[in-house]
Amino acid sequence: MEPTTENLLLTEAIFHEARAVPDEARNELIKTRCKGNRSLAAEVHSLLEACKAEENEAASCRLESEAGRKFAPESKRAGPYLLDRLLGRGGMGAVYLAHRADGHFELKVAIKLIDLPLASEVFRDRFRQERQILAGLQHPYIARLVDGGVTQDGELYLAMEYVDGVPIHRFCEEQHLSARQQLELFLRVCEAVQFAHQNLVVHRDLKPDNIFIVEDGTPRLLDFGTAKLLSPSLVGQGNEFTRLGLMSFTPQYASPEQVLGNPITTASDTYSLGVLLYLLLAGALPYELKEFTTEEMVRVICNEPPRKVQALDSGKRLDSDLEAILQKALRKEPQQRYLTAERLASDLHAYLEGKPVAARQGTIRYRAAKFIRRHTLGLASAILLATTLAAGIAGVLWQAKVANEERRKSDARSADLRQLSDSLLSELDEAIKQLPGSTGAQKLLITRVLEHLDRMAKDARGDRLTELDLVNAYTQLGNIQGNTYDQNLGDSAGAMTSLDKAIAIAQPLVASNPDDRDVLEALANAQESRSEVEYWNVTEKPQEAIAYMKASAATYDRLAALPNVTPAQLLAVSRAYNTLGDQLWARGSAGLVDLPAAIAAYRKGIDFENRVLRLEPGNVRARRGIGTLQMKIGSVELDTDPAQALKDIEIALQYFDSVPEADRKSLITVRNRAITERKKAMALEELGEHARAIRLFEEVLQIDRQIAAADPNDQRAIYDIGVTLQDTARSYEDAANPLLNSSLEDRRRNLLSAERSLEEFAAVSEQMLRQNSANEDWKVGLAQAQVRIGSLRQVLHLPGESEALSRKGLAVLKDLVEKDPGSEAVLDSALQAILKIEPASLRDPRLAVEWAERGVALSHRKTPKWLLSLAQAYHAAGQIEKARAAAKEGLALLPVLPPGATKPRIRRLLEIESRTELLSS
Amino acid sequence: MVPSTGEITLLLAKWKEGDLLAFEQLMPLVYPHLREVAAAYIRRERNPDVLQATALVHELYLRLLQQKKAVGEDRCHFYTFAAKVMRRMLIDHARESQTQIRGGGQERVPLSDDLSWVNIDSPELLDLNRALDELCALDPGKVQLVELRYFLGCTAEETASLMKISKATVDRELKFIKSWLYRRIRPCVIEKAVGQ
Repeated sequence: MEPTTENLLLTEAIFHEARAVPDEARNELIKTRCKGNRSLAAEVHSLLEACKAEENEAASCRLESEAGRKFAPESKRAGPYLLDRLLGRGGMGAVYLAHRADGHFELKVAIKLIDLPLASEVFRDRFRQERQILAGLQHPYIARLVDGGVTQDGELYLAMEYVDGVPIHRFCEEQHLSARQQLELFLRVCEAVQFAHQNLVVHRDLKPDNIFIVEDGTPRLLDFGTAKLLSPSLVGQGNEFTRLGLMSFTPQYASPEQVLGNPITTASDTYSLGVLLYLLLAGALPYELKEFTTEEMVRVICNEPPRKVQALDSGKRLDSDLEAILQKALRKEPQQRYLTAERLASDLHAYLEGKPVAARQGTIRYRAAKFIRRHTLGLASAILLATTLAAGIAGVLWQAKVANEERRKSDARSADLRQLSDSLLSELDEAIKQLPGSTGAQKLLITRVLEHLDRMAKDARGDRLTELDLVNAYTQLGNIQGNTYDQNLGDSAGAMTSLDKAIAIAQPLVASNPDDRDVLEALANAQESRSEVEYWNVTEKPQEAIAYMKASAATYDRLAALPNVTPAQLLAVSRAYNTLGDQLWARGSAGLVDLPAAIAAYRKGIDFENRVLRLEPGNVRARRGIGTLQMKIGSVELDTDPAQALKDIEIALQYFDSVPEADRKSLITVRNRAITERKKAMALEELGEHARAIRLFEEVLQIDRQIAAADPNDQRAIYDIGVTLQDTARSYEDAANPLLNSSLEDRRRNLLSAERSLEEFAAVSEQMLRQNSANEDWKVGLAQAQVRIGSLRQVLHLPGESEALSRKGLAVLKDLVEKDPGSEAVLDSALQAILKIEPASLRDPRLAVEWAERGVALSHRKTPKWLLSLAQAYHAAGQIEKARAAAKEGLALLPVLPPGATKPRIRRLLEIESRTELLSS
Repeated sequence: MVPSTGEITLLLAKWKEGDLLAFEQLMPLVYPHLREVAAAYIRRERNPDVLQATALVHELYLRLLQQKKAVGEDRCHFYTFAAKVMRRMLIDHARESQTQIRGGGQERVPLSDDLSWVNIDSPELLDLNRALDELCALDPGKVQLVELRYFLGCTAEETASLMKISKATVDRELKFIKSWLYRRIRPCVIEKAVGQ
């Protein structure tokens, strides 16, 4: 028979018919159906035989393989856990229910395994990241990380708290929760998400399947497998993470920026929360995705407004405030949304408490309606209001002017408008802070606001309230444009222009309203910002910065002299003096050193904090503030008068300890206290109390490490560890210095300790530089540490890279000095390194003198420390006379030593250099 | 086994547009299933170096990458494609292992529980391959069925849903196909039976 398709199909048809009848009737059927075609009949017969034979063989094979299977138990392990059953599979791996196999405790866990060896490293990195993220996220509503490791097969695994619950939407359905109960449950979810946000973690895949409700009715957030750490160290890698971000969302819950592959922020999570809330309240999703193509997805998610709940078939009705909250959470533009889960939550709280919700402030009608209701305003005004609101932020500001004119008629309305303009500007501010980098759109926005402000300024003359608004608006704008203390657009020239405008409007205003606290505060604020921008500006005019800061302080003084000053205003005054002190102390390269003036400024700051304490004895900020200022005073005195410094630092510690128990344990107090303790150790070291100093440094290091361990993303904590390690190493070296310490039996032990601290510091700085290779502080620190480690290894005959390491560090330092010739800190580190470097053949006395002279010049010949360095450099170069002169000049700068007082380190070293003789070698 | 809703379809569509990331995303979704399939093939293989489920799937992944344009617009297309790739992979593997000296005592590894007389690393698999090529010339639909059901390891229900036919039809048609293949691969058994 011809093998054709028709024949095959015909054969098949008869085959099936024949199999459907009993065996004895088959031959007859085949005969009939084949109509004498014998080859067709034979074909069918042979296939029926084949069928029988196939069934027989299949049956025996199956028996065989089932017997074999019994000997292949498939129990799997992961570390100490036995996997019981598969719970599910995610994008990257599988999740198993497991228990501990070693019988230590009866602990049920969910084990997450990578069993995806494909896109390997990318996924493994993510897995590691999830582990890191979870380790830092301990919250009752977030599924806990129990353990993690590597299985015998080399697969990574995470052991998580096993969450026995149901997805939130199913829970709400099954428990028939009321709308209010649902909202309360949802608020707990927000709490967990907010906790993640506070820890710089964006979940990126919030959906009901990742939010389980357990037996006691509380939620558990699951699956941080796609979460992202908003760590500063990752900012440079934005592309990579954005790219990955694209991979992992669930389309129904994805925000427009996720769909478009734009940067993900915390607002992306609030969007997903919005979709979830919509699902809970409306029983449906806010969009209908008809087909799963990219165009459709982009079209719907990025363009289509969410469906109004009442337009759904569900028959559900939502309160208009709730609807507004949903609409705000689901706004297409991230900046227009709730920026964090907390904001969404606080609006829901407001709703539950019957207060006005922020979501509705963004809509024209709501505000207009609120106005008409509350103030029975003329309809024309309401329409005007509506149009100005539509025109944007600047429009509102302009409207505020209109309101001011009618102020006498309606005080409340004007207050409302002013509040509104404030909140819009600060919202803008917030939005910009959330966005990485600066984009054209933001600058455009700023330009528009500026244009409106300028227009407004023209016809505002003489109207105090409008002018006050303008001053504040220009100041705020200037800070957004270019104040280093805020996240800014890096436009310092623009910032100065805006701030100059603020000052220009404020000064005549102050002249005509000399006793107006608001006006004075506005001017002082503008001057302060102007100074800050100037101070950090690349053109470096420290004198001008300090002049503005002094002017600001003077304005604040006038404010503080008025009756009924509020504690908040007094704190602002103190802050200004604090900044002034910092500028006069000039730890950067930009300042003019005037240490007595700096101390005086800090002391004035303390006076104002004390005034706050007289008004409010329990004011924690003031107590902490005094502590900080006392610590700064001590730090200024450290070099010249360590005995006095020690006293001031002790006072600082007393103030830190005087805050209530809860605040004492807060991160900010613990950190400030640790820094102050470190300064105390430095003072002790200057006073020659090496043993006490070292003990204290080691204690501070413990605290620094605890802070860092509590939050692995805390860059400040790591910075503190680094600084303390450097100080510790220096302290050990000082203890081994025959010029400073007469008891030398422990010399080798101290140097070994110094080397160990430096190694640890080098490890920390290498880690930090891997995250951000451009950071100068760590670069300088690492290079200096390398020189010291290399030198110490040679002196102590330790194994490991030594001379090569010294050379490497030295080369980097020379390079850094060349690149940044104006930085005292770089110069100081480099100079200390080359003065003591081993092998001694690497010492370059001529270069040392050059650097030391530059340092002395940069510090305006006012810093004993630099004069000591200069003396040591001359000494090394064999210029003994010059060395003595420099040392004497340094000694003259030191305060008179009271009789019987301990000679501080710097005085002893300067005295040695002032009497130095050239030793014939 | 089939991941829910239109997610795969969505990704396939994106992939079709040339979005390589969609492929990356697609793989994890179908991977676990493919891996189970591969694991089923080799479950009791003594020598793990010979053929590892992971290696198998890894290869599938790479081939899918190379042939990305061959994927059609919906899930059925994709699975059909995956099944074809799986078939190719197993055949290649069988060819390679033929050239190696095989020790005794090897355990049998059936291609599928429902096609238990074909072992995955035996010459039979190559016979099956040839038979399928012949069958394809007559009725490609039948081969698609075999590939999905036996090479990719879909259940009868899944195969039915992918091909948009009833499960009964799948079972019936497979009965015929298995008979047809058996006769083609083991002709002597049938000749003996018919001759009696």
